[in-house]
Amino acid sequence: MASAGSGDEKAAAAAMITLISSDNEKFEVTEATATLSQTIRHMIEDGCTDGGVPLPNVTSKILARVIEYCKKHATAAAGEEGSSSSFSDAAFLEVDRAFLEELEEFDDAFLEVDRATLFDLILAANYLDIKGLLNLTCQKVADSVKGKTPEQIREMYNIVNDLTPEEEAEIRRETQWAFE
Amino acid sequence: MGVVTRAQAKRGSSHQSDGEEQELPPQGGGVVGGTDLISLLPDEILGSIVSLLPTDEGARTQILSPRWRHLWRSAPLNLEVSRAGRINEAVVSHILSEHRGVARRFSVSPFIIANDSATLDALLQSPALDNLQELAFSFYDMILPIPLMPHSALRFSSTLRVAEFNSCRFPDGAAHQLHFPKLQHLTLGSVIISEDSLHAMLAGCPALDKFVSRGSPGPQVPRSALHFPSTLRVAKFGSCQFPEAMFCQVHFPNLQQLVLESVTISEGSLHAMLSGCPALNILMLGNCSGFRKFRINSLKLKHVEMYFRLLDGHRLEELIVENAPCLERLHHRGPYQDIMCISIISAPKLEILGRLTDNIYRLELGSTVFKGLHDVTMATVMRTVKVLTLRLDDLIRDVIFNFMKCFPCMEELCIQTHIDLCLPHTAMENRQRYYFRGRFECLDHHLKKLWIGYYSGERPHVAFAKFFVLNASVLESLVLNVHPYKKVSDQWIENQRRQLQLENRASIRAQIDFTFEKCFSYVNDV
Repeated sequence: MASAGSGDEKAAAAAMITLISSDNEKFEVTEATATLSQTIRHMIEDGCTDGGVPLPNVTSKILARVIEYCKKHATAAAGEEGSSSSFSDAAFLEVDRAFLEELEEFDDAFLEVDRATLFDLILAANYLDIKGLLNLTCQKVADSVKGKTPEQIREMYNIVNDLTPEEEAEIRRETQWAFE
Repeated sequence: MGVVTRAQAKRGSSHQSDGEEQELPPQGGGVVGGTDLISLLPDEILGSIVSLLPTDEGARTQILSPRWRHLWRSAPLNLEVSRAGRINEAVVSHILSEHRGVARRFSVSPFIIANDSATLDALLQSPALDNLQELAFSFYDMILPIPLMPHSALRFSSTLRVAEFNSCRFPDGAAHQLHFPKLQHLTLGSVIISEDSLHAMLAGCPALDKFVSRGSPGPQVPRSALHFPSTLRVAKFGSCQFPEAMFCQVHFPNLQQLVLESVTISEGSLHAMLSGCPALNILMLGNCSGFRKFRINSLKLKHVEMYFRLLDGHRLEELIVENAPCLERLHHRGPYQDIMCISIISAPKLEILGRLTDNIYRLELGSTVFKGLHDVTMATVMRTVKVLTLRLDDLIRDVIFNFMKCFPCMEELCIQTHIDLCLPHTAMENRQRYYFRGRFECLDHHLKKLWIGYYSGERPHVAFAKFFVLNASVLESLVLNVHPYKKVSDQWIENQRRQLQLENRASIRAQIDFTFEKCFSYVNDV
């Protein structure tokens, strides 16, 4: 943990990073929390975090939520190198059930947001490259449309169908097996 | 959907392109709060969302709007066909030939590939599957001849993270050249594989986290199956026989979870296995046989679950927890007729204990000795135990009194009695050998839940349940599960409630419910 750019001898103990939102609000977080974001991790590695990390694509409202997520998951990630979330068989792999349950509860509560916020979180997770958060939020959207008909999905997300009847017929013909 | 400002809609689009300044039309609609926000997400993200859907639902998103039409084909491929249905082999080939996105998951069942190795081979050759991350396939189980796994299945070895091969023969001499640097999760279900190949394959998986082997076709688990990379955390073996002389060879330094299901394993091998897994957290033995005595010595073990079935010979007769400083849950469920001896010498964190039965002829908890459940020398009390499950022929208070003394902090008690549908009053009356004098800490301060399975409603059962209604001061829930065959009327329940004197209950918060379920599984859910 040779925190780049900082000559402070105490830096190794608790290196703090300042994140600056698009509306110029400053958030001070530990390096462990910040580096859940690969984007920020690379910036730290390149030694360009002095004076704070400007995040012009993320508002303070969303950044606060993202940091909340990272704080909670930084402890979880401490033990686990790399990512294993894509196929984690949670029921089976109950390494520490109580802890995982708590984390799951946190995630569920975390996702209790309106759609606009959810999409903003997705975009922030994508920009900051936080794999866990991106998976979590995309899964939430996928779950919301699972089992629904196209018509129901359109209604739910205000998607206007301006395919011509010919285009629609073509899609149905090409992927007939999905529409029968 | 909340009201969405235009600023939010714009921000949502900001990563998509340079067109930030351009105001995005609300795609027709134009109603406040009706903006189509989801379609503003970048292709890459919409693609991820599409690929999280079941295959047919993913394909149907094409018809949502022009924005969505081309996403499915360029999204990460998630092609999974597990049931017989509209997707046949021709459709799978067509999907593969048209797909332009990366290959995430490809999973096919015998409904697609029948028992034909060549069919699977042809599909796996598709360029669309280059760099596949997750592969699962299955031929028909038990149909001869057993198909050969095509070589093409091994062409993904450098990118696979998950591999599940079922009911096939592993090609000989193939695994030697193979290296699966990213493989985390490997399942071999009824796969015929030579000892050499298996050894080579496991040695070539430096990142393996979970290994599942079901029904190895030979009589024994090949010894090489027990040489895992040290990264392994979860191992599951099913329907097989462990080699007799594997003592001292086993060492899985990081294994946290071990599941053996329908496995024949000798006492020596079982103990060798346990001592070879110093990090083991969870041990599950389901329908295993071949050992009569099991001695648990494990520094990290937290959960132990065992169940046995009547038709297996060599079932467990003696269970000894010698030293298990982290053990929290010990659940044993054999046929209740089994004459057993259980001894818990040191388990200072034990919270959940079950299932104890009438047929345990000796139960030692530290220096407390139950010679049968009626004859007790009480010395050690276990204050950690919060949940106890019992299977008793008759509901007898004395027995429970002894347990309440032994486990004074017990919060949850589940008792399953026997199915007594037609013999009223043959059950022993609640013999008052132990006269209830004074108080029990357990009843005054701790017991919150009581569940009685196969409650009959006959006098002894009523008297037993009523005792708790009238004396358990902090009881929150009393569930009386009546056998579903015993058809009872509302009037019967009313009458029961009256007999139980609910109006005089010791705990005002207590909720009393009658349920009507078969209770084979309840003990599993504790």
